Amino acid sequence: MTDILQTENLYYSYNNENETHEVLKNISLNIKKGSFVSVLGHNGSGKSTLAKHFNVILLPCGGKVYVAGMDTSDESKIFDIRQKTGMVFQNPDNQLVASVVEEDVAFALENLGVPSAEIRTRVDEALKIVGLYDYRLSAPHMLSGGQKQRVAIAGILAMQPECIVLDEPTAMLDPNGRKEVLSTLKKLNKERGITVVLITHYMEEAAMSDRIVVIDNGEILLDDTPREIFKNVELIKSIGLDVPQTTELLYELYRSGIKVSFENLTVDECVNELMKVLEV
Amino acid sequence: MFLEVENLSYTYMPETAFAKTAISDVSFCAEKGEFIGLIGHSGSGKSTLIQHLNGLLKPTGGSVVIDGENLNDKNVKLKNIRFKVGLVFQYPEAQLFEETVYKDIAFGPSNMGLSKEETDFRVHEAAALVGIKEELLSKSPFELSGGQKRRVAIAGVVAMKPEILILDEPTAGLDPRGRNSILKRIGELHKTTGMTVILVSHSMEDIANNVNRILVMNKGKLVMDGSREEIFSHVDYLNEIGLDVPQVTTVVNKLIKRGVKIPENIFTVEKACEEIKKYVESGGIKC
Repeated sequence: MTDILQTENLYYSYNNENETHEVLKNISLNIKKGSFVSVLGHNGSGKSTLAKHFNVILLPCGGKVYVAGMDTSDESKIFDIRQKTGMVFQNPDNQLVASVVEEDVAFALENLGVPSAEIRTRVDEALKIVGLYDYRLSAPHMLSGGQKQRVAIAGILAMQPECIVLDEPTAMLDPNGRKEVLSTLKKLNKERGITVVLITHYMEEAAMSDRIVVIDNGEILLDDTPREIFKNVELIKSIGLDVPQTTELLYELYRSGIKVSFENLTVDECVNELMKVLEV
Repeated sequence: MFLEVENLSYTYMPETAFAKTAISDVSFCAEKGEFIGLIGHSGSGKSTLIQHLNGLLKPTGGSVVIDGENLNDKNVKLKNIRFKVGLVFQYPEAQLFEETVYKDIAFGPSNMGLSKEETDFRVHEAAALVGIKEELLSKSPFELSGGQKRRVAIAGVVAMKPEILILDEPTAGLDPRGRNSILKRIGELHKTTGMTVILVSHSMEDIANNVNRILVMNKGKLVMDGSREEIFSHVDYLNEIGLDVPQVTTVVNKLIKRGVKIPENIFTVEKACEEIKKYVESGGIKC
């Protein structure tokens, strides 16, 4: 598989009056086309800064970023790049612009000058994928948070991107909204092969991805499958993150001498693991 | 009773084509010193409800009584009510505005007409309670990290020494460490000051780890009011109304179904671990 996103020795720093604050230090990362990658890190670790490089909101201070092979510092490619990767942000209310759902989804296409018959087809399709076709004539502000985030996702889908980068898309949602957004992302990834890069503070969400990249102080600390990542319970906690409750339970039992393996992440895996040792 | 909410209803834009009833017929009471969790799906009416508790919204029906004062009463001084009932909104850091952390925390108490000395005392006290170090007081609040900003915003309300502290999703958007440290501080505040705390949250784990009583809202109605044990035993109903139970509770319930004899009603990893260990010690382990 080819890499859709690539960073090579990426450096980024903010200049604040006389102080220079290094946010990203020497990040080299390749994300394969069609994969589902979560990025974890505490507040201020540099996750969002990294994500903004994939959509040319920020340009590297050092090193290179490539999106589908295109160098983000090449100004002539900026619109092509933004069609390849779309971004969804945390607050659903800040990213919807129109007063009707389908117009919101069509917004980018209109700007791109897509013919209107084509816009119609793409908007309808995008809304069907996220499960909001019946709401196409509703006002966005009447929707729930989870629905709003799915409208934002549909707006990106309509551009037929290869990759979606989401910066804490579920932080403001209730449990149901979180599930809706996550299952939509899973579906896009599985059925359409769209690459998903998910920044999140919810360990249970990260546990569902193919790969987790942990960023700490602007550097990549860990990069592996969820199973391998969450094995490092102490390390993960020491950098201000957490492990799913399932892992924590198994880990605590393991530490008190009960022979369970704590690399099981889902509720069912955890139950099965416990049933291996418990007598009924 | 310190707080009495009776048949409270609120309709946005009443008597127009856009009329929308956000809450209807909500009644509950709270004693001093309770730690209450308020949960419900987005749009269930939680925020509308809490905005009534310090008189930001006037009920379209029913009443709110704080410490014997009915907020519907024309003679009630809402300013005093707002000193008694401190409300911390969602993303409160967006409301920071002063040049320094100190001035921002001092804003509330100085508006109460307190002396300089008393204000100064309260600023330091509130900062300590939420875990803001002394050396940060002279900094601009905008130089702080997200978690620190949020703590400063909470300190601004705590400095008014309210008798009820209401927090609307105080941990949204914070990383796990920030989340835990804010919740720990709120727990300590509750213990040391004895104030009533109402915590609105979408995280069932946070609710389970902290409160002893839970109010559940669904579609504008208060549908459940009970102890943590009681509420989280209604797994199916909670799922039906868009909520959940902590992940560890699901694990425990599945173990029980498969014949493991451990008590129901376990909501924290700590407790689950303890009970499974007990079960193992009593011979419930395969050799």
